[in-house]
Amino acid sequence: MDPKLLVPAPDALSVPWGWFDLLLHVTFVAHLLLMNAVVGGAAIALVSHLKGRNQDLAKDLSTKLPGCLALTINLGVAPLLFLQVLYGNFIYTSSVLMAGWWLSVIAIVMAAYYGLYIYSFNFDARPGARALLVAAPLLLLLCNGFLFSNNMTLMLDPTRWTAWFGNRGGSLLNLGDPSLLPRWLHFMTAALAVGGLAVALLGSARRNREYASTGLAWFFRATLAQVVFGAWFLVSLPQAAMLRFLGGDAVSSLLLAGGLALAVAALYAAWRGNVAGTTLWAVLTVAAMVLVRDRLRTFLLSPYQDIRSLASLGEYSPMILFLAVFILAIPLVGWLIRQYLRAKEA
Amino acid sequence: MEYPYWQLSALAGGFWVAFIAVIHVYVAHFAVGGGLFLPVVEMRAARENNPHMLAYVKKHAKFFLLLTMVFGGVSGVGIWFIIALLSPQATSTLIHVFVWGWATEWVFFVIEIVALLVYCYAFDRMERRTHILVGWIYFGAGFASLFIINGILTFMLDTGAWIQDHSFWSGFFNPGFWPSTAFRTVLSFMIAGLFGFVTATRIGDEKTRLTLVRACAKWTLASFALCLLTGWWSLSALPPEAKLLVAQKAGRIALFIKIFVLAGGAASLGALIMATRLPQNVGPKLALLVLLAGLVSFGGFEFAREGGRKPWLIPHQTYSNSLRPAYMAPVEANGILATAKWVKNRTITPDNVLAAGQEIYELECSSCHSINGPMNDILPRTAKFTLFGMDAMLNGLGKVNTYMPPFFGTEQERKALAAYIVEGLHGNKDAADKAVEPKALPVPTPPFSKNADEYVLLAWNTLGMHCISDSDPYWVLLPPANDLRAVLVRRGPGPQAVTEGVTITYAVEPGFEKPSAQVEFWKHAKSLFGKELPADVGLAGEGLSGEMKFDEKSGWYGADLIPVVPYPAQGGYNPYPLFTVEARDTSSGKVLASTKVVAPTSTEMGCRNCHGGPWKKDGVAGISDAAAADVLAVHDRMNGTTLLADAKAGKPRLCQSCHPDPVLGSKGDPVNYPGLMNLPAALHGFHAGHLTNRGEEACHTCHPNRPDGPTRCLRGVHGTIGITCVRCHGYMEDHAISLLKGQEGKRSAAKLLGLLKPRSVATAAEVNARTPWFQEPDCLNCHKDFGVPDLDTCNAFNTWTAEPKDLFRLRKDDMSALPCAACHNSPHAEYPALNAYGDDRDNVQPLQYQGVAGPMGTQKNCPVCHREDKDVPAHHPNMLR
Repeated sequence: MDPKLLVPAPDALSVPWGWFDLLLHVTFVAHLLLMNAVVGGAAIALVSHLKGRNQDLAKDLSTKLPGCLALTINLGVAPLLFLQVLYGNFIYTSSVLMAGWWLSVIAIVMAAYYGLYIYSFNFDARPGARALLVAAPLLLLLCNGFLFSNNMTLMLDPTRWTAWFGNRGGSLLNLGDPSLLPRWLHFMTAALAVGGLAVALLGSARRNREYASTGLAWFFRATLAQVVFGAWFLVSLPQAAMLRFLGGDAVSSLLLAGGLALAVAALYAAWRGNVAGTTLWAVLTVAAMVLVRDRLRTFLLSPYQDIRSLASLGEYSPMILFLAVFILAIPLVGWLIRQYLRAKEA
Repeated sequence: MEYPYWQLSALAGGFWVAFIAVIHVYVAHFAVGGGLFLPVVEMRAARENNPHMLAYVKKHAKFFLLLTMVFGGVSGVGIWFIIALLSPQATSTLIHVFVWGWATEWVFFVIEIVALLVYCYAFDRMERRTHILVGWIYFGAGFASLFIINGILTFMLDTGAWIQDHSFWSGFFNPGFWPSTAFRTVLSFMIAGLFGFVTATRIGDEKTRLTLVRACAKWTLASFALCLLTGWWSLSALPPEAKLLVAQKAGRIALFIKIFVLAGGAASLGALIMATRLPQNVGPKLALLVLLAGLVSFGGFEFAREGGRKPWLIPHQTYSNSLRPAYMAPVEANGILATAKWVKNRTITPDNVLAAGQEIYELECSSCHSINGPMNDILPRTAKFTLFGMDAMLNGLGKVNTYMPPFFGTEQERKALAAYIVEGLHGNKDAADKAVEPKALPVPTPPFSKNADEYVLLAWNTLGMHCISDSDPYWVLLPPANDLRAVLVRRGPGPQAVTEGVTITYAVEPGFEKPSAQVEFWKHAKSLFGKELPADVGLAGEGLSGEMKFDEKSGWYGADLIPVVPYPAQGGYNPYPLFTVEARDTSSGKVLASTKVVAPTSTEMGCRNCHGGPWKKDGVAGISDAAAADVLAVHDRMNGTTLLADAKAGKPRLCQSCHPDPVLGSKGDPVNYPGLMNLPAALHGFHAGHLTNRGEEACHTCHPNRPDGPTRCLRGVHGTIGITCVRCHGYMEDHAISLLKGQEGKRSAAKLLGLLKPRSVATAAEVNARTPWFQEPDCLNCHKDFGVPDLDTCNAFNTWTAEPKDLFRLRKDDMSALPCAACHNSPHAEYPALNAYGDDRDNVQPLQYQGVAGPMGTQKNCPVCHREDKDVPAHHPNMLR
């Protein structure tokens, strides 16, 4: 059966594809950074409980993780919106194939969210339970990441969609895809790295050298592991895709090479204890890797769809409304944060 | 069509979206209403300098955060997830049309999150006025997000001008938007009050507790009152199709609105009770009950909204099962199995009928119907259907009752779906009617002496078949009421019809004298016809035997409304009871002539084919209680009547007590039910939509002419040479159109007419209107100049007799000497007839008088009456053959 025949017809866009693609990347980078901070932060807190060290750091993290998760979820909604606009016909299909698993994400995220609050509220009262109380939401979030990796890889491979004809009950996963495991590991290890970076930033803000160096150490080691998992991810790709990043396609290869270079710069800055510098290079690395991931997606979907050819109705006014509201919101949110910080000082 | 589906059975029918959405939206309304509640109460606490109240606000804010941000926020994403799983098609449309609306809403979410986190975490540290301002900012953002999502939600009820111009703004500011936004705003205030009880009842300080509980009560009550007002506004702004559904009480919409009002009232009552001085430990428990009442009320509202939107997800663009009007044409041409992308059984073979039917079910039905689950369980809704009935139901789906979408697919696919439901899901095999082989009942030919006998007595039935609806405890449309006619001819050159000095009697054959022991008509005659009838006496006062009356106007004898029924005392079913008709000299009492005639009467009325239940009598005929009750249940549901309840209370009705009908001379009920169609137009007009594209099998779904059935009423010469009902009366659609066209201006006539496509002419405009019973196909349409028609081309449909006197059964020959039926027999049983209960059961008189089954006088048998040969076609042209 020709998988092309299974791909649902896409709907027309309201404005040209580039607008959505830009916003997709920007919001996805923000989401990744925050998600990494939460997952990595939780992992670092867990390790501190297991090793019996850095309890103050864990306490600090525990109060911030729930709020951070709130923002992570909020910033997850944005790229999900734009993903549906550009790739809806693929993501809806893969979601239906794993419907039961996909729906369980909601329960998992809710449980993890409440779990982080429980951890935070019980931190002082139940010291013996701390490890367990943070391990539970952490585990849930790791599972969540795994389900996301399943859906994001399944949407890219219509040849695997025929599995539906043997199982329509929504219990399929994409376990047969060799790139699934390394992809997930690569993303989760990134969480450890960026989580460490978040800790380092926290340390910088509090002028706590110990936090900063702990954080940077996590960043450094996790980023090294990233290179290994990243390489595994690369070779697990279909040959044609892999070769594009190794010289076959100029833009893809340059992006990957550039991402690696940025990672090296971040490693160097971390080695030198430069929190601000590490942050800058790390954020740029994430941005570059998101673009690499996007190149991979475009290539894998090229037999089926090119988002550049999606029709546009040309109604710009709703987008202008959004941009106007967004721009007006920035000073308002800034004011809110300023009031909070001012109150804290008082 | 485009997407795969998530195969569910017990939890199909939208269970997951109902579950997630109702809970989320309840909490989300709290998020908005509570967002107003917090700064308002905080302002009051600051103004009154009440530390207890302030502590309450802080606690309530924490509760608020944990509930609305975590549960409310994530479940909102849950709605996105589930709608994309259950209808990727509709979700894709919504996303692509409203992406910037959702993006804008997202900005407000960011403001809400930051504001709420700041509000909660800096509660004690921030300067009071600034803190209150943060609360107001949160409320503003919360309200803005409600405003935006409501544009998208109301779009799903009324797409407004978007359906033409595809503009975001037309879709967003659709006609239902402002009333609905007002309603939801007030609803959120009410819900804020309800949630407020949960925390207010736990305040330690008694004075503060009472103050705040009362404040919550005021919020709840005032808001509920406004809810009723704005809810009324929302109902009035519904698009016309949705309004019609609500008026028709389709799909329990009215029930859900009632639940909203009653449960909301209960919550308000609870609020009132809370406002009294309750003991401290009672308050929190009652608060949870009140909250639950609020949830039920809210659920009622959301289900009503969903119901009013049927059959659409996006009106006029996407149906509830994700199919689109745009797909109808390709699917009708090639079938849904060939057109949809995610299908395994591309064609239907004898081996995969049920598997193909299951796929069609899952594509078209399971989005709204569960199997053995809580959402619109398909099993009880289809339990009554035979295979035929299920197919007929699908045939008519979405036409008169637009709550459901139409069926998409070929007739073969429709039948496969019917098979899956009836056989696959219900396990009902072999539900088709069994073939019947009636036993031949011998009729000895009465004696006649060609030389000695002076008289020829001819007797006939008027219509050829008198159907009876023996569903008397529930309703009646045709009571036991047969009509016999007779003419006594004095033989000789210049034969004469005798009109005085003779007494013509009739008597039914043994076994049929006591119909009151077989049917319940007499038990209910008072309720049905408004008169008490003695047992075994008909509506015109005639019994199963008696004297015929002479009718001056027509010139022949007759007995009307003889209440013979096809159930002999010895059991079984016989639709052709014989009557002995005798002519006697009135003064001397001498028998001048004697003959036999069939009074055809049948209870093989096929309501059960779609309305369920068995055949009542012997498995071959009769309307069972189940079928009769279901007919009324459907009528009540579709027309808002109470017929079933009335029947169960002992007051069954005659259909024609509301619907005019020429056959009973009924004018209906112009006082209580003005403008109703006559009964034939109503019946055929409605049912035609369920029986399209068929031949005469559509007719014998209801009329007793199944070729292997127990009656086979089309038994005259036309029937024996292969002419079927449709050749004279037209295909079902055409037949219905001819009746509807005579009913212009009557209720629903135009609507039903618009749903039918004519078969034998190009447009409905070309079909001629006719009054039922009084305008029928004219025999001379085919028998040009009384000659033999061209069997290949002749068709009597669409040229009707102008006046009653032109009807075959009332017509006379060219000399006005004899009625046509006297020599040719009644319509549907014209000589020579072939009767299922004995070949010549209908041919008694021709065999008796001339020894040949055929019209009287055939094969030059003029001497039967004339006692001499004739060579002039005086009765009518072309009669000498």
